[in-house]
Amino acid sequence: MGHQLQTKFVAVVDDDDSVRTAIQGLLKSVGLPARAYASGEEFFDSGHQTQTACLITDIRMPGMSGLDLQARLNAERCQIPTIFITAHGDQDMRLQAMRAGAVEFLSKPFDDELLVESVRAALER
Amino acid sequence: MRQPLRILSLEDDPRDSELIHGLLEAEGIACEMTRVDSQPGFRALLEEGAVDLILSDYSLPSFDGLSALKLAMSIRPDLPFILVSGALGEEVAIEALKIGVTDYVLKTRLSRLAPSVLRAIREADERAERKHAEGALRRNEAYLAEAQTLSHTGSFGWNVTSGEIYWSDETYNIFGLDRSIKPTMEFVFQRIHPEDRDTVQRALDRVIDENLDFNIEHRVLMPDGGVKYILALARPSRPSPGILEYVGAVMDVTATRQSEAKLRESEAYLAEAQRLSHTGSWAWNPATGENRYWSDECFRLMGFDPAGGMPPFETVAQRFHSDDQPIFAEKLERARRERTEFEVDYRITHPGGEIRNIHAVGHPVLGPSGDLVEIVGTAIDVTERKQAEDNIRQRENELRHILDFAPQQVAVLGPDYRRIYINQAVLDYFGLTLEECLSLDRSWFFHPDDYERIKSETQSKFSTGLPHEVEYRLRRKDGTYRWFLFRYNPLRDEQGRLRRWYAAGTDIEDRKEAEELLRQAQANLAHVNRLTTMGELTASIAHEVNQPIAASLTNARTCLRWLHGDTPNLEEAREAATRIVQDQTRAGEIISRIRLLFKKDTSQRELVDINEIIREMIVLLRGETTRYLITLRTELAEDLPQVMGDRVQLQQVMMNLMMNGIDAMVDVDGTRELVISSQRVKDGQLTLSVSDSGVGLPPERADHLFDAFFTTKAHGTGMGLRISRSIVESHGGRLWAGENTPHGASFYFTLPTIDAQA
Repeated sequence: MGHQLQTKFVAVVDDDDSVRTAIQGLLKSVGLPARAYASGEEFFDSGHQTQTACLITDIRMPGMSGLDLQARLNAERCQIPTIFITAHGDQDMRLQAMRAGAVEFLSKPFDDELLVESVRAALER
Repeated sequence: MRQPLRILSLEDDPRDSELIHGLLEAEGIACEMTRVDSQPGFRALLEEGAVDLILSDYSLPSFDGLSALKLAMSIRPDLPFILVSGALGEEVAIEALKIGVTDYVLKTRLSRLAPSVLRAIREADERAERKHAEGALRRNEAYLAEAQTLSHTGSFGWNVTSGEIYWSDETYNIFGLDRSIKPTMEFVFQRIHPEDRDTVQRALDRVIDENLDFNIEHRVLMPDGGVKYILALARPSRPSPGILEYVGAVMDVTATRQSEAKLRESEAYLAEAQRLSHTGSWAWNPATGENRYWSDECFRLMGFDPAGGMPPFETVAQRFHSDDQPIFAEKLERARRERTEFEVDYRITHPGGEIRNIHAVGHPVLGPSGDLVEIVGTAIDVTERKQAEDNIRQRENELRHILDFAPQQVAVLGPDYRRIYINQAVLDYFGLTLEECLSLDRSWFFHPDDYERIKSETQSKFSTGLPHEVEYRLRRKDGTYRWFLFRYNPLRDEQGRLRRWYAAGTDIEDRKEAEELLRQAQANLAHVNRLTTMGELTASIAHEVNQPIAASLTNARTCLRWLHGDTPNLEEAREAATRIVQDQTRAGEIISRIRLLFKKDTSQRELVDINEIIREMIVLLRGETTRYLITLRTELAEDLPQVMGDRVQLQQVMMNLMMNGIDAMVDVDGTRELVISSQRVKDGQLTLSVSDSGVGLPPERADHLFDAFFTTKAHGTGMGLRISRSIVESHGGRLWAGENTPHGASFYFTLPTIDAQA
């Protein structure tokens, strides 16, 4: 029972192809439209920030990292609820991310239920 | 006077004839009278010839005295003809005298007949004698003239007192004077060669003074410029007091003098030739056993002085080397006995102690009856030549020694690759004799695996005619095979034609063994390097593998979701399941690549696509690039030709370089970018590069970058670049490093592609 958003969608940013498509597939299965981007740069280049209702991003990426992405959004006063998922579980990083306003911080392999719930929660904010 | 006198009487009255006969007999003139009374009878008796005197009547019936006289004059003018007749008259008498009658006696005065006959006979005899003498004289003169011409000798007479000169024909010839001109002493002196005039004059003065014979040789200058040599001999005589005459001969001795000069000249040349060639000539008398003749050079050869005269044979023989004496004697004896050629070599000691080598040759000279008259021959001093020959022989032996004992196999081949020379080292190695070596088929010597290769390689290399090398195994006498490196050098003649191949072979078995050990050691090292690197990559590999596995989990859950609920969406479920398959495949590939890298023995060469290798390593190292937040960029050329290489080893190189690049950027604040490129440089080669924006090359120690155990990392082994370089080089490429701008390092390496490798 998710909200169907007409104009907005979930953005998935991860440099790993498998991960991107897996998450995108998962979101589709719960009726959440999602768009995937290989890098932070690609996301910003696309100009879809305003249409993004929720952002799922990896932390460690070449070029713009997940945290950099978050910082830039903050700087642009783009308040998009952000969920971090990372293969490298890093407690300090988690603190930093949460402090900067992250909705959730998940480690791979993540619990799909947990992710879905986090997304729904972010959308209801 | 002949007795009896034969008288022809022309008388018609026989009584007259008898009368006359009786008259003559009475005066003591013994005679035989034959009477004729006709012309034919007269003529016949005259022609017969046995007549000493003719007494003729004047008038006969059929004939007359004057006609008879004429007839007698024509047939026998030498016969005295006395007319006996009556009175004839003055005119007849004069006529008869003109015709040639000897006397005329009147029949009335027959007392005059006997004296007349006697006188006539006497005169006839005298005439005959004179004629005879004149004939003899003329004959002698002719002989003399002939003799003079033949011997180029002319005679002369010179009346010193009057200056008158007589010359024979030949003397005219010799002096070149015309017969019509009378010779004078002035003329003679004109002819005498100017240089000889004084000498001749002085000689003449002296002989005249002292009344001696003269014997003078001088030159004569002829009008045509020719020079003659004249020998003048003469004897003085005083035909009457106050008159001095010289009578003698002049001889043209030019030819003799010239040939004498030529002979002297050729003798001089011969002596010179002998001296220059150290050849002497000799003649040995078998009867006496002594040398009859030695040329001057022969004396010198034997160490004797020509002025000292011919030394006795024994004296000479004593100077011979004691070993040579008996041989010489035996050979000479054989030549004498069998009258054959003689040839011997011997050593002779000179007075100064010097030993010379002599080579003597001789021929027998036989007499008319076939017996040996003497042996003549030459002797040559061959000491220098012998010395030179000995030197050459010695040097040849030395060279042969050097070649035989050189620690290399040496062989010489002809233009047809036939083995001309093989040194001892070769024979010792094969354990064969020279004959065996040359007779065995080539295949016996080589390792069967090498034989085909050698044949084709040799053929192409030899046909270029250039120096070249070949490596192959040769079978040793104990049956084992050892590796040899043979180098071949061609030798050409002046026309540029190939005459010889010089081959030298070195035993490189030990080297090969060492090379093999090294190769194994390197392979081991490379393996260790891989393991170490793999160890370093554990975390990132784990991460890499983890990604697809984690994604699979999500996809599986998604799949279940689609299948759950009232209306399962099979299509979506299928898609999710497909994604799982892809993820797992990806994970499996990573695993298998890792497994490959863990393999120890990797010496497999195959055609590889270098871009594929690059991509595979990128996949493997993605974990690392992600972990350190490094952007990875590739610039890979399309359609690169393949490389014949070892896949694992090339992956290892790529991995090493990428790891280094990543490591260099770990602590860098700015952009972290790893760029990998591949491009075709030229035909047969491609270049790859791995560039980072890291800390760059260590400044002072840039040349040690590729050294073993060189590392800037705290826990590095320092072998990565070393191993990478040896791998690249073993593939026929080069690996080097350069600075990157604005900072960082680039590593480049080339590889030969399939279209370059023969």
